[in-house]
Amino acid sequence: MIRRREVAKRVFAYELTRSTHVLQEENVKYALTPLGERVNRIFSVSVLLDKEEVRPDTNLWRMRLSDPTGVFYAYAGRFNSEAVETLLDLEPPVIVALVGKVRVFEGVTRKLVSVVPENLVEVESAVRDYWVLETAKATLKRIEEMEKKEGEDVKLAWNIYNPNLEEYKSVVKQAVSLIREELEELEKEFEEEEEDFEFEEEEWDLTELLED
Amino acid sequence: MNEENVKSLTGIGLEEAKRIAQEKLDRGAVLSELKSRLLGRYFKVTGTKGGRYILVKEVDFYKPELKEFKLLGEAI
Repeated sequence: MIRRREVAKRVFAYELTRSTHVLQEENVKYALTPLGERVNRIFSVSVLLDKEEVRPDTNLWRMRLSDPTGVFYAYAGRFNSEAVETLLDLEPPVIVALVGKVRVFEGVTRKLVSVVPENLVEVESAVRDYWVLETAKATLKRIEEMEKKEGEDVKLAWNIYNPNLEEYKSVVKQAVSLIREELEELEKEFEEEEEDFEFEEEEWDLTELLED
Repeated sequence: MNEENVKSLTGIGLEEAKRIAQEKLDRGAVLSELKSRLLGRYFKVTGTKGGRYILVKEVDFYKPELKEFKLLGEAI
């Protein structure tokens, strides 16, 4: 049987780390998010805060990642050699794009959600900016679906998580305004730099040199 | 995408690709170089749509504008 590759969903850390319920369909496992999305794979653009070998010489690496809504962990080992190879060259903090499978680990006291990266690459800040915009839109769409209370997964999500949708809305809003503020700051700096440049030009016009 | 598209995006055309492969003595080097410049990025693409593909005429990196954030922020 040919199965289409699972699409990598755009999910913020805030929603991802709360996605503790696992669904299984045939041989594919999904984590159900509190907003009723089935995720097998995610695509995230986040800041790699640090990397650490879980135990010496295991070649199993733990990455701590952060997006504007929270922090999550990713584990890369010998089965993700390409990602590990990239990781070894990265000096945190850097912005990375990653595609990976979502894993739910049943701990003693609680369930922990992490990601196993398949692809990992350093990217420019514009990529992160657009990812936040895209993920914000995807999350808002899920919130809308939750409000309608239709569909199997949506109903299941209500049953299991009973999420506070206003909380999710405000998380999305904060993420969008954070990037907006950063962009505005950049624009301002850019304008100031241009002013500085003109100022320097004027200094060259001083007549002292000519009077000599 | 044709060679021209790849070159305009990554700076790597056929000649550069040959040079990279020779310097690194590794045929995989070109692919990993291309991956590091293309993976995870957003693109603005025009071309002819096929089933699960697009024949690319023009392609460039996509950069969002400030106003998109303003609009979305206000809509929430």
